[in-house]
Amino acid sequence: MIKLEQAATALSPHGWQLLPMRFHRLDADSVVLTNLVGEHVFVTPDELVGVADGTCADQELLARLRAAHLIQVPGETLPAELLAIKLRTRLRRLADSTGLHIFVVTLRCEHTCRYCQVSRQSAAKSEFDMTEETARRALELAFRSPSPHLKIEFQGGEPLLNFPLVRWITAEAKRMNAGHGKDLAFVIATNLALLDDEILEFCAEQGVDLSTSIDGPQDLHNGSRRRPGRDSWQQAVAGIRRVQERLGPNQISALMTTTEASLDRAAEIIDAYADLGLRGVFLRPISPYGFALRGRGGANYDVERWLGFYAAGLDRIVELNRQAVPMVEIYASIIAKKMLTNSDPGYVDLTSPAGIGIGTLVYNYDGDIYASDEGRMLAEMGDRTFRLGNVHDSSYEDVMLSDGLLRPLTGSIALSAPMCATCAFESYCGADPVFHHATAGDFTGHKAMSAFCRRNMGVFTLLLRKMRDDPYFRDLMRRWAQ
Amino acid sequence: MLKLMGRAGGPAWPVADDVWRVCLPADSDSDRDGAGDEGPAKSLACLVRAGQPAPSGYGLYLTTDPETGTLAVPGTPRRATRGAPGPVLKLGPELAHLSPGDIIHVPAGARRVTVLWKNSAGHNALLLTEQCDNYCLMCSQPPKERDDTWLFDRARKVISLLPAGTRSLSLTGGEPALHAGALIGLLEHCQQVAPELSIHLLSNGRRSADPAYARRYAAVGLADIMAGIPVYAPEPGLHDFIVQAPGAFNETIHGILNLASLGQAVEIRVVVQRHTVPVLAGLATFIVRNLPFVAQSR
Repeated sequence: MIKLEQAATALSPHGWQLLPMRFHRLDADSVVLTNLVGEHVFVTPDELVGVADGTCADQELLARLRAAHLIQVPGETLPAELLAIKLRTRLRRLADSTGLHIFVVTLRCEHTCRYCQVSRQSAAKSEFDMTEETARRALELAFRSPSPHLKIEFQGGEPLLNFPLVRWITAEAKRMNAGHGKDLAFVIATNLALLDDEILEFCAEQGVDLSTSIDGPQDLHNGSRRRPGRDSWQQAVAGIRRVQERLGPNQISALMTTTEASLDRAAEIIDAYADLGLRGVFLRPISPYGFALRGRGGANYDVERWLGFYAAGLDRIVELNRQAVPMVEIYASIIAKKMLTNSDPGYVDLTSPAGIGIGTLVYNYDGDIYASDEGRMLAEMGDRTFRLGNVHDSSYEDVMLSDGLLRPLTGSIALSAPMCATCAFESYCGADPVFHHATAGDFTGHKAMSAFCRRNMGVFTLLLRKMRDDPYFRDLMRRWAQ
Repeated sequence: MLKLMGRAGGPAWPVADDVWRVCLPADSDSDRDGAGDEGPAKSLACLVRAGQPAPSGYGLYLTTDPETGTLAVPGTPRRATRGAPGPVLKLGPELAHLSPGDIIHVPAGARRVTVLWKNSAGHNALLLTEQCDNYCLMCSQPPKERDDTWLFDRARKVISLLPAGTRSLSLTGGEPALHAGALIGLLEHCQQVAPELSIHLLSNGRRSADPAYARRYAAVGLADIMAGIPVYAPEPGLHDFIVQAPGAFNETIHGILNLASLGQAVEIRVVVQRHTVPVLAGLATFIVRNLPFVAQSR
């Protein structure tokens, strides 16, 4: 005997209230709605109007909107409580600053990559090496971070040119950690040309990961990444194979840098990664810093062309997955986590507030401290806005509580930035105060004229359309979100 | 399939309504339940096989041996079986499966025996009440209005008699938390006499929307208890319809959140039926986003 009829639970016209709701028109007949924490529902424009003006009679749609905390029945408190819990969960990482510490152990490099964003010097000049004393002070600052996880990334130049310091920092960090009990991770960003057995053994014994550059097939890679012998690609590939054999496939990852020459060759680049047994590719844009801006590094391409490149690369990756090659597009996987879960992976270029200082700190070879890698590159171009101090005379408080950090951080909170606050994709996006300072003259920029905004909106709408129309891709994003 | 209720022949000596654990004569030394030499082992029922002598000292003797005669007509006095030093229950053949460690309920009059605990089964559940404040469309145990709080007392006795080595216990209903005091008392009893048990409590979670009740539940301090709480839809409309109770969804989710914030283990249970099938994917999404802390019973 039914006591409560199903019809009794239906919502009558004007029987619901809107919860914080943002929307974006994807196509002529398709709109995506997002709630306060980025959960999304696809509707038609007419359905959106009906939900907004209280006339919608589609009970199944109204039920889905209730489940996604986009509408509620007057008097309910649970939806707001759950939204608050989810938002708190997403922002929880803020208490665990700073996870990534970049040590620029030398500016020396034997490559002369055309797009290099680092002021590299020829391999002979050792006054561009970090000293042990500088490294020790930098480590002391790093261990002041509340984060229970510290990742120490060795960069340069070419860090293997100062391998003794890499070894020293690793040992010293582990020694210092005895009093802290943090979870430590180490990674060397290297072109692998100088990899030898001693370095491999060190990585194996100490649990150090490696990250290298593979821009694509040989001609594309060597076209930009110049070195004596013109064999950068061969060296990198040989290095990758050696690492995979000695340390296993999970110890080495690769990044690509996009140049003008890359933009029509997305599928080839993906295939080059697949051939090397690399399971993840990060399709990145080129950023306008360092030599890339000054030189002819191919920085002059527009956002639309890059988006076409990204879409082609993503298509090739989906195709590989259909052929049972489990390739991941890392940028999409970061966004997948933000779209489909409450956790924020903390990728410093896609967080709000931005990852400057609180996500990452950079210790240059001379002890200067920067709020991010891009901040350091800007300094090489003469703009020291993002220099936060020096390890030899700045305390942790001097660095983390400085105006130099707090002002750009404040300007990087999307929830209170014009256009970002009402953007459907605010939960997925981030902020780039360094980019906006460099291109627009202030930390927030004007999003209508921001290449950062245009590029991210392009990626979000591309991913959402694919998720809406292709169940296989939707499942792939779910897998990548885990 | 084992029968859990069966006929019994009334013994000559009166047997009060009680709960008994079955044991064999050979177990007498390790199984006396503290009786010592002082008299019949309290709450132990000795299972006597054909031809075996029945040792003295037990409160009840059980036999399925046909040689000791046919079942007595209920109500007629019967002489004690030759050699049995106490009241003898002759069990019907459907209860021939009784073994040591099983726990039975013998009501006054002793005409029927209910098996409450089957030691050889991997899982045993104790029914605590048939009352419920949900009225799920698909309920296999529709609620009854009558006062059945005596079931808590019976469960308490069963828990006191659990055989050594018992690892897990299920508590079910109806809705056990409708009798909050009795349930908390029962859980405290578990914590006292069997703290190593893994307990699975089936409940709709609605009572835990009251923070004071949730705190009492957590304060019992059981190391291994999990609440199995059904959620049938990702929003109130359909869930409340399926459980036939307005407001149930909001109370249930509030209850789950309260338990989780007190560090209590919660499992979400879903029944696959006509109304839940179309929303299973949406329900899974809801659980991932809103209840990501839930666990599963092992």
